[in-house]
Amino acid sequence: MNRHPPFPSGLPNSPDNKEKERIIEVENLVVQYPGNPEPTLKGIDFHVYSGEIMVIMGGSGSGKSTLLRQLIALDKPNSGSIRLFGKNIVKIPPLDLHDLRLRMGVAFQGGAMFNSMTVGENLLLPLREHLNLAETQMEIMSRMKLSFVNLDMSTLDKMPSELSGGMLKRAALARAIVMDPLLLFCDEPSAGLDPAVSAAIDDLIIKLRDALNMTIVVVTHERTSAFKIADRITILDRGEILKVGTLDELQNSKNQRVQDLLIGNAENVDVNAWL
Amino acid sequence: MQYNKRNENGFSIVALEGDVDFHSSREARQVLLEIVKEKGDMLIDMSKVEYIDSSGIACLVEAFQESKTAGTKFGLVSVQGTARRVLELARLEQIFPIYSSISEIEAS
Repeated sequence: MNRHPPFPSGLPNSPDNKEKERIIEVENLVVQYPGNPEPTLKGIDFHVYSGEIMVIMGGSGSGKSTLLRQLIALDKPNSGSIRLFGKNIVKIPPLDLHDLRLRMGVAFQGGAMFNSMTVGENLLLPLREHLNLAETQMEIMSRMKLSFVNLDMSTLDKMPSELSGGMLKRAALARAIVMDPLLLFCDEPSAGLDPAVSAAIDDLIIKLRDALNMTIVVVTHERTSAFKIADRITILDRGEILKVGTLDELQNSKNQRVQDLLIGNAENVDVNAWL
Repeated sequence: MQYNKRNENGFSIVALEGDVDFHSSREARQVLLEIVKEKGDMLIDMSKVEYIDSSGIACLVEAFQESKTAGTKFGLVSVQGTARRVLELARLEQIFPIYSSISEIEAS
């Protein structure tokens, strides 16, 4: 596993794009939940380059949450492969998956903090569990990450339930990056936040890519955020990839469905389904 | 990570080299805190650091805090690349005394 991504940041469509290291490679991924007549993901193929921000967009029912669960190895697909850092996580031994997870961070939509612990304890937990470092060092690391996300140090002593929505999202992000992951997944990082807080989180995601060369996958339905932060965007529609490209490429697409999704006009209900 | 320690003009100069990360930062911490314990003024030459993660930055922060408590001098020299970007993200570049080179310090 390459700890030092060889490319400075995910510049979209740069001439050397083809030579960039692929951190995520998804091939022909099919997921069908029991009882569902149709697969939720119908043969997904896409890849994410080192140091880029890939945004996965799509309406409700498009399959983006299912895809995220697959990417972070919470679920197994019916078929297909997902390679993270070159390792197929569909067939990986549990110990190797554990090692891989140490280099991944996930900021869940609802924060997923332990409610019985303070924010500080939540941040320290993975450090204490996985690293053999002095306590002072780990405390400084968690304070540093809180500073990265622009949260006051008094937040460390607060319980997650005492935080506002925006603060909780930032604290979740701080915990997701506390172990210096190479690969960060963010599930709806700015959903439900006011525009100013949402913009601050977008800026932070960009800073993490630029400063730390992090590869970041953001799942969102917030178009403003997606357009601001994405190096490339994957548009999912009814379990299939409609288009992958830079914002310019998507905006220049002749596909009407892509255009509808970009401007938010797309209906998610297939008319044929109820006729 | 490798390190080289020398004394020059009353300063202990620690030149860190390679990766200062989860695997090596305990050693780096020991070296730096030992100098503070000896009441030595310290400069950390970062010019050959290829990669530093937050555990490495935490060592620098701790050594800086301890040197302030001990009343000794502390500074970073030739901070580049990832290290500088991480320091900026944490706004630590406003806190740490940072010099472009050893000769700049000698001149001042």
